[in-house]
Amino acid sequence: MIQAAFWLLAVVFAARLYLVARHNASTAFLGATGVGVVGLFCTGQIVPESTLDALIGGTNWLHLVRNLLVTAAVWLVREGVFSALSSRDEIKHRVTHRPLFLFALLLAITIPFTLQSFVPTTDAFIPETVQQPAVYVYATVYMAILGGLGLSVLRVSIGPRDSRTVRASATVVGIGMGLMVLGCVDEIVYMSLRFLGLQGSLTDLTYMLFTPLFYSGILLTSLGLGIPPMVRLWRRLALVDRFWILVLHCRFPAVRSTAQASEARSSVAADVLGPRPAERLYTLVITIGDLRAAGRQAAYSPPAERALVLAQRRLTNTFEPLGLELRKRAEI
Amino acid sequence: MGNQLLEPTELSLRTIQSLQLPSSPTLPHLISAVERAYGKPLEFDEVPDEVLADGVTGRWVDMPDRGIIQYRRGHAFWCRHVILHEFGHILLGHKGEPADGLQSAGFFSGVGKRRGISWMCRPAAIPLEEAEQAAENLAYALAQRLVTGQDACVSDAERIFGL
Repeated sequence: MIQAAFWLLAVVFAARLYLVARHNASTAFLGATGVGVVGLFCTGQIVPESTLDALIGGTNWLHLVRNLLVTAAVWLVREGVFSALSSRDEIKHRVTHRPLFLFALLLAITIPFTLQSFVPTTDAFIPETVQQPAVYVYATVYMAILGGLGLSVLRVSIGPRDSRTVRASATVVGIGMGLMVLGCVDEIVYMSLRFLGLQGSLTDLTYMLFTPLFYSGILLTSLGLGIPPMVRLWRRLALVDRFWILVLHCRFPAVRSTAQASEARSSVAADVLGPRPAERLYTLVITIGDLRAAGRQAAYSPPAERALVLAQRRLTNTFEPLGLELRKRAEI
Repeated sequence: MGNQLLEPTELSLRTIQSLQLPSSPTLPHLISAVERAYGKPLEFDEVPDEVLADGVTGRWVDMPDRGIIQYRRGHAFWCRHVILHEFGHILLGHKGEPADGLQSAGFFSGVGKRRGISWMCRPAAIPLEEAEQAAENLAYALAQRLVTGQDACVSDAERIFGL
């Protein structure tokens, strides 16, 4: 699951990098995915933890680095979500949205970490060292901070939005954050039980639940952040519009007045593959209507008629019946 | 004939800007804006084929107290474009003189001006004169706002999310 989250986030990061470079999208989300990718890289699932940790002393400093990166990533996700879904004044006046606040959070995680009795690199750092008060405080503060950040994103994300894509993306991010919060609470309970020296089924259960809760939350958050770039790509490809352009050309050959078959083929190809397919489909539908009005195609075959109706529906699925619309006036 | 896309002219873009339409306008928004610019209410009338001359898809009749837009029966989508074309004539101030000019060019059987009433038509299969071209260009530009350009309107939230 951690590997899946890593690769998904890496793809989302690449897509977001393109969107920021070309379309001035949010740099907070770009930063979040970028930092998140590095954070997940440090989990030891891609390159063994011992190899990476050896580069920085071999005493589990990688654990701290990873947790600081994840904290920064979640804070950046929160920034992106708040800047999109809250009023600017609301963000401007809150201390928690200033970079200095993030720095304070990172410091609060780092200080207890440095006070521990360091041990050599281990894949089970928390289970093996959580009895140390410094490690317990370090990990509990980290989980509490992450849970708090996640909870604030969850509260803002869920709710009605004008844009379906924003609603879908924010909802999936919110659910992901909700799962992450549950993972944090679960981990705090587990660490507290271990710190108090309590062993038993509850300790085992909380230990077992952490990874599915926390990393499925990260996975869903990554997926949510990937929804807008995917929708953008889908719109850009406009495969449905291109399909209907091809169908209409096949059903209404009269729209191509060129005599040469090869020219006709190339003009169809240019239309199907050309830029601004929605406008091309619109123009084609109007041209077909004009042909009928000009008496050059008096009646359509039933399949052609059906194709024309469906192509128009593709362009007008949000319209009301024309007669009804023509009787209405709207405030401007 | 390839599927030629009409690029909106500077005049079309300026005209649409002057309408002060909302970011995602509907046809009722547009009708209200055209009526405001026109200064008279508009009536719409779907007419059978025999009412209009051959090859004419719709016409705008400018009456002293109102405007009437007649459009040939057809698919709603295509009728909508015919109406947009007539809006183009209204918004570009084509009543009167351009109609007389076109009449002398002999393109339409029923274009003219008489007793304060003038009308213009949208032809389906004849070369477009300057006024017709301008109205058609504006019709496509309006359609772009109403239909095909809806996806291009991106709110701040959508932009931040990366749409």
